Amino acid sequence: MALTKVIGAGAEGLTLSSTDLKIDAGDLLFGTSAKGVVVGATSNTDANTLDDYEQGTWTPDFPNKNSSATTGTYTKVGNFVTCTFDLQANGTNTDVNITGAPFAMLVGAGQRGGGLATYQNRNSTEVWTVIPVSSTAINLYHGAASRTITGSETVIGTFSFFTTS
Amino acid sequence: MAITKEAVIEKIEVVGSWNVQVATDTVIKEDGTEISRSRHRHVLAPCTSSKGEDDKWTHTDTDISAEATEVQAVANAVWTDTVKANYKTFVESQGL
Repeated sequence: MALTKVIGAGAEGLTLSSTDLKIDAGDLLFGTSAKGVVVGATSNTDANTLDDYEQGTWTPDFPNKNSSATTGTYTKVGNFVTCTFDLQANGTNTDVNITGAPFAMLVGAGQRGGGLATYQNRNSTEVWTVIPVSSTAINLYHGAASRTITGSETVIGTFSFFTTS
Repeated sequence: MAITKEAVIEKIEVVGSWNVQVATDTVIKEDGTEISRSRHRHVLAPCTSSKGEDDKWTHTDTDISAEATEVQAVANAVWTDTVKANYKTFVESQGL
């Protein structure tokens, strides 16, 4: 197999063969933003181009800030975002909205994401879902009825959604 | 050896007609050289909206007083009365 090696500073760096591209150590960087890798197609089509990835944190909270412990993480792959969160109420809370989403969520017809409260200590007999209700807020639901946490209650959950950015 | 920590607003994006999307990086430096960077994100909309048990909507203007000056400037520029009204109409049309 014919190989082409690109060597910089005395160390082997990039190796090209007829079938593979190997970077000996380090990452693949693009000199221009919003460029990506075409996966599953032999031509450059937007639908097959993975041009965004990001991971970070977000802060779930109630609009009236009635929380005592909040933490959340997210990973964005392309236009799809998956979030996790822990949220503990602090005293009397009546807010149903949980704000702070890391990206603007699509909530139009056929676009709305969702998820599950994997833990909540408000009601042991209910399974709660997590539904985006606007571009920036999620609500907790049991069936069609919204749910809140109050006192020092905790909810832990995960949800996913599409975004345009 | 001096370790410093600073918050840097990396992006302020207007997404769609009313969403102000903010990416803030926490940068850790040792003697001026960056050794760590992590990202935190949040999105601001003109209002927080909720529907009561009587099916009536309540819209409360988003408090942006704690946001960075440049974020406030973008939000105030984008969130005109017309945009706010359009946002409320959209939320009510899509809300559960």
